[in-house]
Amino acid sequence: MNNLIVKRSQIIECQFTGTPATNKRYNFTQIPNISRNNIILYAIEALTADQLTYTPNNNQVIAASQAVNVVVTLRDNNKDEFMYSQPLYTLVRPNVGGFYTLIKPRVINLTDCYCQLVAAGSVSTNQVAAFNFIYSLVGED
Amino acid sequence: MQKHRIVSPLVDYFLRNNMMRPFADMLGYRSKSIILAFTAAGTPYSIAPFKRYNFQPDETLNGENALITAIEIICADQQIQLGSGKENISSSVLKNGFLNICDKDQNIISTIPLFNLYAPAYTSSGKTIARKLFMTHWKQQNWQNCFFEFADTTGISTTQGIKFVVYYEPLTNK
Repeated sequence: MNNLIVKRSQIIECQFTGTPATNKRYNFTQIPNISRNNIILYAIEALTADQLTYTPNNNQVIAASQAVNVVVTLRDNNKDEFMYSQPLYTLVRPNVGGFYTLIKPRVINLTDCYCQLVAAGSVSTNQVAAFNFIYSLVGED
Repeated sequence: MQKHRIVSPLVDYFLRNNMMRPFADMLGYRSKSIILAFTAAGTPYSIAPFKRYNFQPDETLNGENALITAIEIICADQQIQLGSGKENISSSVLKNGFLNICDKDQNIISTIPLFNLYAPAYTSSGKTIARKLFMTHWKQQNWQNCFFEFADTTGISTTQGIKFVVYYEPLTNK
């Protein structure tokens, strides 16, 4: 069996500001270091409060029971929505045998990526959907 | 008859580019245990939310000397006493913390939930997950710039410490 190697990683978050609304696009919080189309994403996982209660920005992560209410769309630097409305639930490692979700390596445009609520459920204002992006820098071996 | 392994092109690419390797338990030529003991208020390792707990300088773990191939956190269910009069933390507090691996300019290489570093098989949301070691390919780190934090320190006390095991390959004969 193979196991993923983490070259670089970053906890990314998507905050549900205002009253959580169904189908509204909530963009990822920008991180200057990796928001310049300068990272090659090759794996991803989603985190719920069972794995991480608060992000490094001190935002509360949604409960595990809310994972079914969130979908995520990732876009690359060609605006291609290569991961479209992926259920957050299936990106949570304990839900899929502990495995990371592998992605064909591509330059990601973090500015264009977003989450949506398919049902507002019990997601509270200012809670976040958190992800761990596994990536390498463009030009880095 | 010759046997053929079926490997997806994506997995083959990952294997050839240091993004994946066959699972094995010990992944470095060497490993090192690092223990940090929490201390009373007003001292460097006192317990507070979002306090940066930096590792002690260790030249052998810096990027110019070592390729870090895996890292693991050891909790009380694996080792209850840390040998320095301190007890080990419970795995239940890991979800409140994260580790930052930084280079010599304080640029962050990796931010990782501590939960991800807990390797033993565990049960989450009613499902059992097999043991998985957190494998890495870190070669630019500066160990004394690396640190961990807890957003919530509930469940951590001054009678406790925290233990990491770092697996690495020395790059020189120093």
